[in-house]
Amino acid sequence: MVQLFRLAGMLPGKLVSLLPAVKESKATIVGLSGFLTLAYDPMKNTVQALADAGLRDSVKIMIGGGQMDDQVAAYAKADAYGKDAMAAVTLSKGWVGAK
Amino acid sequence: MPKPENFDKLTPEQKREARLKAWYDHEGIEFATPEVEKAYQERVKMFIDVFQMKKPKRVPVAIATGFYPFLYAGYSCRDAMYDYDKLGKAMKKFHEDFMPDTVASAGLYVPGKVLEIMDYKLYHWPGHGVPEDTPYQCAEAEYMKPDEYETYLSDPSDYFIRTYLPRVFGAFEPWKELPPFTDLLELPFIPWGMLPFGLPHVQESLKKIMKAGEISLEWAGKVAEIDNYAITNLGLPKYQGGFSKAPFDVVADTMRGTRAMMLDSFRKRKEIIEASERNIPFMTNMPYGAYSWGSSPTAFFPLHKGADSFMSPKDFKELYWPSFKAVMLNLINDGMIPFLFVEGSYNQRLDLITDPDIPPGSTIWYFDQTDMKEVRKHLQGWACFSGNFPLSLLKTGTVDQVKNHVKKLIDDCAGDGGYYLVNGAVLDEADADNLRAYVETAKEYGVYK
Repeated sequence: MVQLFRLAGMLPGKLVSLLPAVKESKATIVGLSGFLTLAYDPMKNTVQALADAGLRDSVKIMIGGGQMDDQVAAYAKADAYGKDAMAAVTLSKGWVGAK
Repeated sequence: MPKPENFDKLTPEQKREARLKAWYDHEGIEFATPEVEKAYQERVKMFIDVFQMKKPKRVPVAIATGFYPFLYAGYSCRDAMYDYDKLGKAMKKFHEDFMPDTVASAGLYVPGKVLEIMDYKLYHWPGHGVPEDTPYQCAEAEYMKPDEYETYLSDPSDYFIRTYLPRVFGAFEPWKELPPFTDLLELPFIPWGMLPFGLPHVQESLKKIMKAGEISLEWAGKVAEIDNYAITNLGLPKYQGGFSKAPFDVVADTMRGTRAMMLDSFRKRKEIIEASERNIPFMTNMPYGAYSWGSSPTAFFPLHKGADSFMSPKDFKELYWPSFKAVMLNLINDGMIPFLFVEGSYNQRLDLITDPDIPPGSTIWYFDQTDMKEVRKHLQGWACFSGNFPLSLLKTGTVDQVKNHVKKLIDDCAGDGGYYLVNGAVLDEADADNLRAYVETAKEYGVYK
């Protein structure tokens, strides 16, 4: 099941709904989509928030979109960066062990 | 140097030379000191050299700005669009502190008041739909309905005046009730045509438009003043002249919208091609709105929907390229230089854009995320190319990472000339030390021996 939350520039409010949603759904993969540089810090803060909530170890986090790249994934301490939607599928399949 | 009287009889190359020379000669610009004037001409020459695919004195370095100058000055994004004093201060400080080789124009930060009065629906901007510290954002929708291709084709201007603009701007909404202006042909038809202008809500609309016009005039004066400081006191040239768009993007960005256009690419291919062809003359003429004799003779196209991830090479060849190429060739034949900003990537297109119909040295290509080594392989000797310094390094990297990547790009791209350095997409957030290192490293390392 895929649930989408729009974060960049509106972080505090949305985190309130993201964290419980991750917990309740027992999601194993979280994807963060961003566009320009203003998405970098919100992504970093989201990853940190998941860690603070004790959820980091139960999820794999991928980032993508616009000006995201491996550098930003490292900065945000996400698990991976994907160039496009197909990459997101490939990453997901790899993480859940699907073929 | 005034425009030659025999301009229309010159060849395209001669026209381009004449326009470039007029830019270099900078008639009518008074500089603070002779030293600043000399520095200005050196910079213009560096850009002319790379545009002509030569080796300049050193690799020019540009900063493509988003809202960074305001965040750097401690202001908000909203300040950029609502406070002329802060607009001027931020742009002055940005140019003085970083000294890129070109002016970042204040014209990017349009006056929020105008958009409010016009009730502009196509974008959200700081304080109006997005938070005050967020840049403006496009809010796409299907402003042109799927069954309106024929109406658009038969009379694009009338479609804009009486259908499209009334949907996009609250202030234009009453214009739905205006007569087709093509009716105003004979004495007996006139007062019937004038009737709608007597209606209160139409008159309200005109009052709003007048107010928007007054504020826009005032703003344009401020922008000229602010840009002129960087030009006349710091010696930085403006390398953008006019603006245009690829015909497919005209329809896809703000008329049909991305999603609807993608569906159209399956169901209405003929209509897409016809609509794109129909706006070729408008996109050919658009650059001459901002360009005047003596400006940089470039026509800047932000390119959107033709990117790798938006359409297949087949669709690019059939739907995107032909009308886009026609606009470029029209401009090239008039001595203007299409300046193409490839947003996203064109890794799957480099063989398609290097079209043999486009003369070498007649275009400038600015890349966002395309592989620069591949760019050089395909474009060296055919066109000037630039890019692709990543925003991620400017914001999240270390100074050493930035320095090393500047050197790597120069090593990979600049060896045979025709290359200049610029960040891949507009800059909002960055680390000031990184940005400084980016400019300084380019200036030291980019010298041609």
